[in-house]
Amino acid sequence: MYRRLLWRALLFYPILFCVALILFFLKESAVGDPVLTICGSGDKVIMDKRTYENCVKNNNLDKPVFYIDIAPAFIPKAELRKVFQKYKRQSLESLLRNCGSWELVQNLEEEMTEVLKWTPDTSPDLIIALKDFQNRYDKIQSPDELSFLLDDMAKVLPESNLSTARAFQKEMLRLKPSFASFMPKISLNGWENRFHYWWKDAIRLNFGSSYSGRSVNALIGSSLKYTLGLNLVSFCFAFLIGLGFVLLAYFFENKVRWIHTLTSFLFAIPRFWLATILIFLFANKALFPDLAIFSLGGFVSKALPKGGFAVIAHILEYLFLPVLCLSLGTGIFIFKHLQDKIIEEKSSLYVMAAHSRGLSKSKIFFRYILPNGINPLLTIIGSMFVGLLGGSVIIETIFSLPGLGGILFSSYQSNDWPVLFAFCFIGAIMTLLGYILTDLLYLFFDPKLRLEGKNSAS
Amino acid sequence: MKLSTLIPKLSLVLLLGLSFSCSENENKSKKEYSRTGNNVTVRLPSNINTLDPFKARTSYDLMVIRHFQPLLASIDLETLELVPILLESLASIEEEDGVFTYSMRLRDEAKWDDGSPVLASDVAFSFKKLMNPFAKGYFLAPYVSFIDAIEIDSEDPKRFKISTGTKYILSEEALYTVVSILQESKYEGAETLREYSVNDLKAIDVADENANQALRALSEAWGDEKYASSPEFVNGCGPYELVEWIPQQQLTMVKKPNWWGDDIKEKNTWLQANPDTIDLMMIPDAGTAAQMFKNKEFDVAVLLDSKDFKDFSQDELYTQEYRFASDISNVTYFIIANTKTPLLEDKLVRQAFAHLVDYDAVIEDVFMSYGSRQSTVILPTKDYYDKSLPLYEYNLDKAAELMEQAGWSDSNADGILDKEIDGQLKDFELEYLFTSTPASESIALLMEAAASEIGIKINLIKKDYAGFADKTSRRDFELTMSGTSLSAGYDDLKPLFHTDGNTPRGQNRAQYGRQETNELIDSINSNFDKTSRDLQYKKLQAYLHDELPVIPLMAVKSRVVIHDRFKNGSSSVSPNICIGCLELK
Repeated sequence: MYRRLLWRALLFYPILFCVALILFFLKESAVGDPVLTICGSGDKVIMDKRTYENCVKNNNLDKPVFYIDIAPAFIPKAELRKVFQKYKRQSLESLLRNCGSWELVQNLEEEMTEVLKWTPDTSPDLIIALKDFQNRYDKIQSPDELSFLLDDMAKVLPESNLSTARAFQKEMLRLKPSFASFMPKISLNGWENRFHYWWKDAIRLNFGSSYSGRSVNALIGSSLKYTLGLNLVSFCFAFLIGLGFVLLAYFFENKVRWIHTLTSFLFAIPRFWLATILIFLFANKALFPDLAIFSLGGFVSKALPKGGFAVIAHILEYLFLPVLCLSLGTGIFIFKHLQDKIIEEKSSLYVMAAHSRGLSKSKIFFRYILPNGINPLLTIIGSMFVGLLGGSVIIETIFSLPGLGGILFSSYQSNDWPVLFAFCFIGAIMTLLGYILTDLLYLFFDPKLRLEGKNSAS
Repeated sequence: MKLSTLIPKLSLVLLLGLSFSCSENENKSKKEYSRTGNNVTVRLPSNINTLDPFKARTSYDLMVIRHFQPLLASIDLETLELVPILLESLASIEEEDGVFTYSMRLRDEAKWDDGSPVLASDVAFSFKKLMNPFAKGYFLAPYVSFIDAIEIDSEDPKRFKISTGTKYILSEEALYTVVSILQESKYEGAETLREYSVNDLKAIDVADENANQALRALSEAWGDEKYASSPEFVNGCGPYELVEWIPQQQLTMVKKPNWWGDDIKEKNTWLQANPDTIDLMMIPDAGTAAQMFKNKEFDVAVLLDSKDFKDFSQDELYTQEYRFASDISNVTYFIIANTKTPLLEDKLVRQAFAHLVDYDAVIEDVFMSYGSRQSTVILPTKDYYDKSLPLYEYNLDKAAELMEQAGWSDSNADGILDKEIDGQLKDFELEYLFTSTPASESIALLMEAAASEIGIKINLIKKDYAGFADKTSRRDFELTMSGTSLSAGYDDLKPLFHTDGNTPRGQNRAQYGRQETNELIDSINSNFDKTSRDLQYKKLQAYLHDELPVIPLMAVKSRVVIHDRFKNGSSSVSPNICIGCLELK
């Protein structure tokens, strides 16, 4: 067991690195131009080229993605990175994949720039047409599309202006990259890459700036305490709920079917719906003034009362409903797991022996059955806690609690990757820590494992 | 209690809860919950993300920041005219050799909290801070990129001049309304910025990693979180000071006891600061907000769900205690036709689509009547809005007729319109892109149903926000619905309808562009004569009404609830409230 614990601790860093890699490449493959998301200035102004380029440079978007580039030999990644506009870069790469010749793509680019440029004496109608052609050209994905574009251009431009471009287009159609040229070539980028910058900071839990303007650390830090607090309380409450149902099932054996029906019913209620019903019943001062003993809109109100009991009552007023919504499903989950094991333990020989020795039912339960039955639950505590965290997103949003839920929800809506990134990364850390904690709890609760550990050590 | 009796009772309570939650006939209590005092609790439908004035993106962030850090001048929230705030009067403008110089002087009364006066050096610092090319996330910077120089008067430290070579109708408004004025002395290293002129800043090459190290370091230091959240830096020369900010829950500000603005006699809406305390409660969830409103936990609620707002506004229980204000706001919705796609190139087809929109259903059913028809994207509240242009009506016969005029008919009797193009019979089948919001989806379904009636097949493509933004940036769509928040002042339609806006960096998603409209837009943007400019606006509207690169759906109406003990407080300028204007009756 100690060895397993050590092994888990050793794997912590590499697993985290892998998670970071997956997250990072998910972000890199996300649709959309990150520059427009990071530096977009709304609908009232056209972002000028300089602002766009400054945004690329300030955010290291002109740097390689990773320590290495893996691409077919004919794709010069370093050259493509010099093209800042994402859609243009994608267009060039697509053309390159069709023909396999960077030189040809560059020649075409130079030629089209020449053809599409307008001079002061160009007629206004032609200027507009040329701009349209430029827009279409910047998004071209294949030589066929290029051919259609050149045909359309021929309607307004003399064919002689287009002959070279047509020749390049035909050459593109003729050239096909050989199968062998698709063999990946690995080129080293060194430490100057986006993943390295991010990983270097992330491992120190510095997640940079959110697109909404605040630092991600401040944003998450200010909310994490609420979410963790809410989830810890919910987790303890869930455990009590689970244990409560187990006790009911144990001491009222003839009502077990009723208890299972009730718990299955409660388990089936979606959390968000339960939250809505509870709010409607117990926080609705207009409709049910006598039932409405709970409040909404935060953890506590501004006017916190004085005195210990009053403070607890005040906190309960705000927190009871969200905690109940979060913990009910988890509590029943714990009950179902625990109940299976309890039934198994109840039919064991040592329990029968205890009965025959005349020990009371409660003594047998608390001294023998429960400690043995609780062990399998420890294996799922880590994942349960992380699951709770996920569930709290919707509950926090519904109850307008200042936790991570609201941040995650709005970050998802606004495509705020630095925040989403940090959230997943912290989630991964907590999952890994959860598993280590599970192992520690195992060691603590299971004397067999402690003995195994000691024997192997000696 | 026996378990056998407890379980059915519990189940009954839950079932009752379920049935009540779906019931329309609610038994309403007549109990009164009155709110008192000169403290205001406001429900905001969105979180406050930052209190850094240059990083703020939403109208809510900016609204809050303006209580701490005022602007030089702004558009009055009632009269919609430009009015001075920190300035003693609006700028005097001079033109010489194509260079426009805006001369301004700060009010003598304007003071920082430490008693020192607000000076022109603070103004220069604030503009340069925003224009620093190394600063990350200063998304407002492009709005003032036209500025060429800021000159402080050597004799009067409150007087300054800003000059630009750009002739642009919104220059003046941008000079006043974009930059919050910050106290230079609070920012360590601010003297470094003094060494740079505006043109120096504009000429910096960000890629040169060895140059301008001091400025780079300064940007890094000023990007610190404290500048976006700590009261020390957030509090400026505005009427309120930040007391507490619990992100996503609450922000509390209190009125400064001896705020300099109190001494000013003639107060525009920006110089009013009536409530003693302002509590902003951030409640994004519409259901929770409605519940809290029922519990009368707010004095002001912005943008309640349209159905809730309508129900509350018709319920005596709430109308006795609250005012329900609904004005045309500066947000407008429209359907964009990608004019460069073969099917929508013809304006007759676009006009046919304008007759396929069931406007009444959109406004009444989707937006619960909180919208107002408009013939072009210009807001009906603007004095240059052309009222003479007719509104397109929902008329399937007219739409079918226009399609026929455009050459589309069902020649093969398969129920879909077709036309011979380049020797091939082509069906009229196009894609309608929409985001995953209920309103967008409802409008898409209405369009699809109406189009199928006249033989047009619409394939609905649903995308999340990121996918939608990507497709529209690439102009990879045929029809879509979108909206925009227009300026409360003059309209610059260049990003929306000029060919310069037809890049991924611009917003001309319809890919529209004609020589006439380009010239008109350019001319409007540089015309300082209101009379002739208004005529040009009308001419442009006539073009857009005929060409229909976008089909205007409606101007959105605001939904603001204000407790009846206050007078004033609502505005047509987004986010539709003026908290400082709330005055006890």
